Formats: sequence, C-alpha cells, structure tokens
Amino acid sequence: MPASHIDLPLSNDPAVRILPWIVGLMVYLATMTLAGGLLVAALAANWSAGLTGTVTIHIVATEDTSAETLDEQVDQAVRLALKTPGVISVEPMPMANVAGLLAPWLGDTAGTMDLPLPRIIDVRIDEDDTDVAALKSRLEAEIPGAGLDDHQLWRDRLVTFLRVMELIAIVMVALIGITTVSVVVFATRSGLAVHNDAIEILHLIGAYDEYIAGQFQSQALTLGLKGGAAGSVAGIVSLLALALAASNLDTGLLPLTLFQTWHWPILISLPFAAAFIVRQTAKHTVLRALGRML
Amino acid sequence: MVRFENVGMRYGAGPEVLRDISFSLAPASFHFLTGPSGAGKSSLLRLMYLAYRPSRGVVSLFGQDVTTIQRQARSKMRRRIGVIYQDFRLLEHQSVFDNVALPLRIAGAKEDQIKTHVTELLTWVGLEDHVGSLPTTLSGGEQQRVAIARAVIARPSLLLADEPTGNVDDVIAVRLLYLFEELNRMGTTVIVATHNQSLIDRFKHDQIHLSQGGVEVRRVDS
Repeated sequence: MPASHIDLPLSNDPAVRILPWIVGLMVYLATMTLAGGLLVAALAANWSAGLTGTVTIHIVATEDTSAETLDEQVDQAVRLALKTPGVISVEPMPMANVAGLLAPWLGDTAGTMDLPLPRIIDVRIDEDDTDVAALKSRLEAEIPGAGLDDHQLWRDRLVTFLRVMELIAIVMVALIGITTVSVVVFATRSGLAVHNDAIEILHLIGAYDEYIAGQFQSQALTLGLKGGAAGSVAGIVSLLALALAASNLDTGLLPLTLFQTWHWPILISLPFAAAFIVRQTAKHTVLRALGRML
Repeated sequence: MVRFENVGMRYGAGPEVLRDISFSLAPASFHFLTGPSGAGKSSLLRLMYLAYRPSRGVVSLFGQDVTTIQRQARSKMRRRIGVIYQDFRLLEHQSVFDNVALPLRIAGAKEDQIKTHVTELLTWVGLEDHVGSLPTTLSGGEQQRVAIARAVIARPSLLLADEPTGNVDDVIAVRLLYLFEELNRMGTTVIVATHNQSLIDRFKHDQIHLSQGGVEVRRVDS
C-alpha cells in the first residue's frame, strides 16, 4: 500500500531540490526538439504535397535548334500531353520565368543572352489515371531533346531527409529521457543514502516496500510536475516568440503556421509524461534498493 | 512463539558471534536476556526483530521459519514485533505524535483511530504535554518513553527491549519494568536485554543467558 503520509523529510535533500530544475530544463529541451521534428515533418509534407500531381516536360535546345523549331516542339509536346488520359492541364513556362530560374547561376541577363535555354512545360495530372512512363516514352521518341521529370528523385531525397530529421529528433528526445532518468536515479539513491536510518526503521516496523517507495514516488511526481510545467511553459513561450519573429521575416523559411492542431496536445503532454517517468523511475529505484534489504 | 535451533550468526565474512544457539520461548512469557558485553545479546535480538538472517540454523517466530517466508509475510510479521532500541532510533524530523503513530500508519489504520490511541498512550507514558515536540528537544528519559510508546502502540505479540533502562535512573527503570509486566499480563511475550542486576533480582523472570556465543535458559524458582 503506497504511503499517504510522508514519513521521510525528502524535500530537504539537496539532490531532490535540484530535481525540478533539471526536469524543467529537460522538458524545455524536449519541447523544442519535438516541435522542431514536427515542424520539419510538416514542412517536408507540405513540399512533397506541392510536387504531388505534377510532372515537368523539358525540351533541351541545341545550338542547331532554332527558336521556331523549339516553339513547334513545345506545341507538339503540349498536344501530346493533352491527348494523354489523366492529364488535367498543360502550361508552358514563359521564357522570362525560365530565365528567372537560371538567374542565380547566369545572372539577370540570362534571358537576353543568346543562350539555348531549355523549354519547360508544367503538367498537372491525376496520378491514379496517368501512365507517366508511357507519356515519357512517347515524348522521347517523337520530340528530339524532350524528357519528362516526375520529381521522384527529389521526392525520394526529401523523404530521406525527413526520415533523418525525424530520427535525429527521436534520438534527441530519447537522450533527454535517458538523462532525466539518470538524474532521478541519482537523486533517489542520494535520498536513500541520506535517509537510510529512517528507512530501516520504517522497514523494521513492518512497512511494505511499496509504502516506502510511495514516499519517494509522491515526492518525485510533485517535483516532476512542477519542473515539467515550468519547462513546458518556457518552451511554448519560446515557440510563440519564434513564430512572431519568423512572421516578421516573411520569408517562409520558418513557417510555424504549419503547426497542426494535433501537435499542441503532444507538446502539452510532455510535462505529464516527464512527471510520470520521474515518478516511475523513483519508485523502481527505491524498490530495487529495498529488495537488497532483508 | 520464539524458537532457535542450532542458530549461528556472523556479520559478513567475520567470525560467528552466535554459535549453536537453541532455545524456545512460550507465548506470553517474560525473559531477561543477560550476559557480558560482547556476548551477542544485541545480535540475538536483531535475529528476532528480523534485521538479520542467521548464517545457519532455523529461527522460528509465531510458528513460521523466518528464513523461508515471503517478503510481504516478513513485513507483516514485523508488525507483530515491538522493538525498543538502545539508542531509541526515533525519526528526528517527526513530532512525538508522528513517531508513536508510525506503526499504526504503516498498518493502514484510520487517522481518527490513530489520534485516539496515540493521545491515550502518550498520556499514559506522561508525555501529553510533548505531543508536538521534536524528539531532539526531549530528555533521554522522555525519548525513551516515546520509543516505548512506539513499540507498544500496535499491541505487539512480541516485545523486544535492548537495554531499555540504560539511560534512565532506577526509579524510572522500575516503572518501565512494571509497564512491561503489564503488557506481558495482556499476552505479549517480552524479552528485555539488560545488564541491570538489581532489576533482574527484583523482577523474578526467566533468563536467557548468553556467554561466549552459547546460550543457557535459566528458570527462576516459582
């Protein structure tokens, strides 16, 4: 039976007094890490969704190809695409936009230079009904220099990046958890050593191990909740501050608006999860130590 | 009630402090535990209040072999044993009331019952004015009475006292022995370890005499 009355002066222990600070710090770090992981996942999903349902036809110009020929080839590719089942819309990209894409490498004058710029055609498709491979084959067979990019390689890299980021977030949260558990084990063992005489008295009077462990776990739960709540509030305030700062940037680099409604309960549950881990760790540490007593 | 069969005990890898101890005590009996210093009186008591395991032999309490019982059953058995330690072993951070209430709380008694019984017992031992005091603010004799009250509050079947008169004058020592006799009359088996020969002479009870690791039970002439 767990203790309902605290017989041990655990709150005076230096190692116990520092526990809420450690738990608070760990919950803060876990909140920020988890938020980062969720944000990256949402960001990647957003990018991936932007590419889903689109393919790009490109026609590479050679030095021998005239602009008129290229225009004809673009028209031919558009007709060919439109005849393909599942294609929703076909839109050649204006040359100014193509030059804009190349501007970081060739400078702002890329469009005015006499360079054989490729032609690009955006095609929106219904992925379920479109045979992309067949379209690609026909384009390559009928139009010299034509090709089709379904962005699969980029998407694969994005998914890999996403998985790595998620893995890093999981590893970091796990490390934070392990650190928290280690600190609690240390604090509990310290408490056991400090109160060894009192614990022995309780033991010899007939206290069950659960009664003595209950003294530690009640204390640990209270301290875990206090520290966890403080860390969680600090973490959420930091996220809101980041969101505010990012909105001022207006670059879309840190789109905290991608945070979903269901992300918040996960973050808010962190201090409760931390307090539960702290409680269980203290309980099992004490039970294990008591198990060595007669 | 208490049965030792060829019991040996050693601390760690040290020499045996008790060797081939065999005796049995009837329920509701009263014994003095005597012997020279270092004879093993405290060690024998430690075996009885289940602080240590014998290194060999069998110790039985209440008809159960204490070396083979389950952990929870051992805790339950401890609740039937009241112990008065030579150094009292009170919880210094807790009030007199909470120290005495400890066995009842551990046994899961209700707070209103605890309050009634503890208040009654503290009045009986003359500490009604020290209910909220911390043990460190009390004299040695008062701390001893707190320790006694804690040992008897749950009406133990077996009461073990380790030099209970070591820190008090003769008048209080005699009063303590009367108290133990009263508990004994109510059915508690009492074992009092003491060096106080005048008390042993005054209160005619059987003796468990330890010497050089061996034991002898001396009966008093009735």
